[in-house]
Amino acid sequence: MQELDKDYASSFVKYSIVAVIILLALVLYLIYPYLLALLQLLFSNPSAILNTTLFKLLIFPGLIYVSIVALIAEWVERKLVARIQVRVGPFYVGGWEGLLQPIADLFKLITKEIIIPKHADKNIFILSPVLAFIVGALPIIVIPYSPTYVIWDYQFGLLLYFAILAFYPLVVLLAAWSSNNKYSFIGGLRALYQQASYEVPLFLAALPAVMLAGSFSLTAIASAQAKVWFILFAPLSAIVFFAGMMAELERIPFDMPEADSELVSGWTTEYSGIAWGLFQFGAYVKLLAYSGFFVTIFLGGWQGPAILPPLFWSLLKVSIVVLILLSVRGFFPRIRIDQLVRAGWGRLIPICILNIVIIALLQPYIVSILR
Amino acid sequence: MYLGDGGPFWFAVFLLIGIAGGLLFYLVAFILAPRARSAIKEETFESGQIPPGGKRVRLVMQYFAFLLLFLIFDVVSMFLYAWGASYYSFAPSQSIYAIVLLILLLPPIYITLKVAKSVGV
Repeated sequence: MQELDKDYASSFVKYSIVAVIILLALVLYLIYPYLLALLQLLFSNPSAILNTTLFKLLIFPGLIYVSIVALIAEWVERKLVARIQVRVGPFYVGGWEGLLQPIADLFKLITKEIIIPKHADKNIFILSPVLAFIVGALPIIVIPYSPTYVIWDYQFGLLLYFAILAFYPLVVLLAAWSSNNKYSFIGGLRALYQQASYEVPLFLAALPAVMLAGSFSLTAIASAQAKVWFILFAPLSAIVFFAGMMAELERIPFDMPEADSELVSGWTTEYSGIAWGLFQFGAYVKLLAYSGFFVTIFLGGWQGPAILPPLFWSLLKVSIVVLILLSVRGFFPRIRIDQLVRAGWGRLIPICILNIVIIALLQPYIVSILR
Repeated sequence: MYLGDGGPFWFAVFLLIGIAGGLLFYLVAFILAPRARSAIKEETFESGQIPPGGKRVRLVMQYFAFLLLFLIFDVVSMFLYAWGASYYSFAPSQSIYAIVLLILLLPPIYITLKVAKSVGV
């Protein structure tokens, strides 16, 4: 038997305790005036809390909402795919239909040993799940759920959204390279090709929304759809965006980077316990971010009949898009990497360009409808 | 350092909370989870085999040309965004230039895919 290396985990724990304490102290220092204001509101005017940015950041379109939706999405996916494939799915934990299964999974993952491979680049190896989680969660900040429920109503929100998600392939490549494993590296390269090939169609498919709204702000794009949803002007772009979205999320027709029948589990092969859990959590949060973005730019965001509040409509649309994204997993086989690259460059980009050309040529008519 | 109470401030707060949260998950896991280290467990995973060869895996990047194509297309689509944002203000005849640029994007894709097919990737 070979000798064991120096224990990396104990030194990591020491440094990360210090880092967490410093970070939390910094966060508290930054937000404590807002926290005090929130506490005062709690006694004077509780309903005004819903409009404070701190509440939005921490609870509703922010962290807690995202975490809960990620957990629910995991359960819904397993249940839905099981029903499509005539299985039962999670059943025991939590009484009704295995509802508490995701929480049980979370506790299971958190109490599993984290194995750090000997030849791995240890610092990058252990930090890339955290990066993946953050890069998946950050785009939530610019996505509007109603005219008021948006954390940062940024003038260039659409560009910020794409700028953040452009980091994701880099994180995947870091994770794959630092694992120093053949499966991880092949999976990481596939993820890189896939996400690079589908970044351009996604980017071009979002262009009609910017053209028709005349703004980069996601709130302005959603409110420009009061009369007509942009999916009616850009149906081809919406289809391309949906396909690109599934490729970026590595969901099943495009899951070569994970490919559990060829590559063990792709670029997450060497990750165990909560390190793998953070990747999965990040993937579900990213799914929510993409669905929210799709709803905002094509399906009118919070627009809908005024009988019900705007929040209801945006949540309904987001959950329908999430359900479609999740259920696709039950229907399709995996495609090959050359088919994927060929479809991305040879089909999706020309379709996008066609849609942009149509919108550019019909400019006088479209302007007269939208004005 | 004062970041104001606008968006960038909350962006920074979100980022810091995210990093702290991720590290907290790790801390809880390292405290709760049992640790039993062994040499065979920390070996690189290769479906039960002891991995042969050197320390670092080396593989060929088959589709590297597509990454170069991506670099060009990403820049061009940025220019298209600059054009598209002024959709309401330009005259219909002015969009001809952008349409020509869009159509000029197609031949490189066609040639790349054809070459890729002929070399068998």
